Amino acid sequence: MNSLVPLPVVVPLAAAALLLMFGGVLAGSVVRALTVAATIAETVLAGALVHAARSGTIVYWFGGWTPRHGAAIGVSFAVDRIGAGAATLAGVVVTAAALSTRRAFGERPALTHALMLTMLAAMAGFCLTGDIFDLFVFYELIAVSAFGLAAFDTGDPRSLRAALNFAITNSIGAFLLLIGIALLYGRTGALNLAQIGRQLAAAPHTDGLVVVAFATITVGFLVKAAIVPFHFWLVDLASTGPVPLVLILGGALDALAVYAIARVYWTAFAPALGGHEAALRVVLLAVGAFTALIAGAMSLSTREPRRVLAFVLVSHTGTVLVGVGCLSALGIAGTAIYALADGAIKVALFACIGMRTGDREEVVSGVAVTAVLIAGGLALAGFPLFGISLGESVIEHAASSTGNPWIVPVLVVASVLTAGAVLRIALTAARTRGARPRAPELGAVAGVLVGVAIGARFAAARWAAGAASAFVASNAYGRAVLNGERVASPAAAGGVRLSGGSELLDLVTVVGALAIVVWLDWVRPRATARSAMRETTAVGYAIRRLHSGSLGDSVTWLTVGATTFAVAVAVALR
Amino acid sequence: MTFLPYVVAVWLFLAGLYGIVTSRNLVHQVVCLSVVQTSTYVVLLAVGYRTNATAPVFAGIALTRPAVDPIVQALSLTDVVVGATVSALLLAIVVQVHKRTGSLDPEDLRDVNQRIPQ
Repeated sequence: MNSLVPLPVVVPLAAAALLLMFGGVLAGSVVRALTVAATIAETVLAGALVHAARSGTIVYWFGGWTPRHGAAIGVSFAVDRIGAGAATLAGVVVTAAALSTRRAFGERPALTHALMLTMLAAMAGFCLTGDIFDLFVFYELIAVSAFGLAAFDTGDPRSLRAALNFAITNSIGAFLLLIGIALLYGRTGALNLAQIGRQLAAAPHTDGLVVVAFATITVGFLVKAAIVPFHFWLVDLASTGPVPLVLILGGALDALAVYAIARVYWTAFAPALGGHEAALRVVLLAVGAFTALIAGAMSLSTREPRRVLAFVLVSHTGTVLVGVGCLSALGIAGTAIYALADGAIKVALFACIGMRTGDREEVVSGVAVTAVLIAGGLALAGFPLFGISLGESVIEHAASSTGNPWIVPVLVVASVLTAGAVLRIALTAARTRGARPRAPELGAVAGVLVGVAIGARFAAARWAAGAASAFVASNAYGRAVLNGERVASPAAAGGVRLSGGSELLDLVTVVGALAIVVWLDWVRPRATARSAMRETTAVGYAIRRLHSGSLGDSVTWLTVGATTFAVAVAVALR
Repeated sequence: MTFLPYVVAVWLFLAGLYGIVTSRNLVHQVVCLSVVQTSTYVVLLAVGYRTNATAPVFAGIALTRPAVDPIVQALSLTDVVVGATVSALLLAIVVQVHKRTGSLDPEDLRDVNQRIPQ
């Protein structure tokens, strides 16, 4: 079983190499088939790891360089169920993206497919690794493949601008991350997450250096996750970039960045910073709640379908951050269910809208598209059939039980806003009598993904509690990695039990979302004919101008956001 | 223990950021990003530096001789590779921008209807 561990990285990388070697002579359909085969293989392998890790963390040392006397000298993969689950989600999403590339990357598919496979390999490594520098390298490999995809063969200057903005902003985030890693290494002499955790815990007190390292590492991942105010690059890219890349970003990548925050916190920082947990929790919850609300409101401010979805994406990453920010096993369990179901639904939505994209004045229409949009809107609103509703109610429960009940109304409002925005697109699609979409395979993909979201409600819920308990068990992780002990994962009875959530709140959200659609599309246009005036109000103008795609604005806000976050963390950990 | 390298790193980081924010030329912006990245090299090398130590090559010298930390040097090398890749990609995009729009001014890339009214 152990030798299976590196395969989710190796298989897509090998397939990418094959494509680069023989892509010139292979027909497009063969290239696509090979890509999809590799992504499905990765999904199955990662799924097998989820199953294998149920009895404890699996540790794999490359080259057999096992630790000597509790000190890591090699590089390890340390696989638990949450990490392997994230790698599985990445596989599902990239498979969906690979199936949707026919029109996006027309004539020469070998190069773009090789980039997608490299990206998948890097995502798998990102999820499985137990080494913080590895985390950075995989992060950069994901990013560089994504930069390549973003700028590939596009004639649209707006899309090039988005690619530039994406590459520069993300690189700055990566440099922050690297500085944090260097500081941690300087303090602990270790790059292995478990060993960093032990060294930091052994220090008599936490000092400024640890605070700065935590702040820079977390900000690095927040930039990647496109949390407000680091989200400008994502809005730009999701509204103009190639559809397959947007699918991957929306379905998996943002959630993976938040996953990395949780991974680094629970393995490296939790033993040392545990005493400041309550204050740190408030900081993370505030950032997540702020993102969920602001981006949720922004999603109703535009009618351009891909831009709407871009803001929905940002808002939901905020919810994921809230789940992780609860800093509890229950929060992680809720986040796992939520991220799986929400990722699948977002990919389905983007796939539907991406079918007919190309220029700005796109028309979204067709029966299948409308059906998926309505299903997606209801799923986002917390219709109890889908995993999103369960995940969200578990997150809300986790926040309340850790002393932050104010999160509950915030998340409800954010769901109402984003679900309303998606239902508005569905309404437009239903009213429009345009050409039918020419991509039946995308309809099938979207259908399967909606199924995944439903499945998450029932399947993921079965193992999420136990997996989350194992994820937050820092000591057990350290012993498994550094001492080679096969630590049985703590029983889910350790206080984590998933409650079904309240149907009343779900109902409120669904009704609220429908009310927003009715208000914005029927009541208000009739009540006031001055809706054109609204666009020219100072605040609306200022906010729209902020999102006009200026790199300078994006980096300025990155600086402001990073500084504010660092100050907040410093106050929380003082 | 001296703080000078860390002060230099912060200075480089902020100077690069200032350049990216204010620049009106895309090539210049890419170079400014490289300046930001230079700060990471300085931090990495400062972390591993030891006074009066030699390079970590143990050919022909006593094994007990103090040497600077080779791991951060390996990390810096990885960092250089990443930086080269990112710069190459960015410059390729800039070339594309110039081909399509004939301009290197980032302001020309803003959404037309959301530009500042003159």
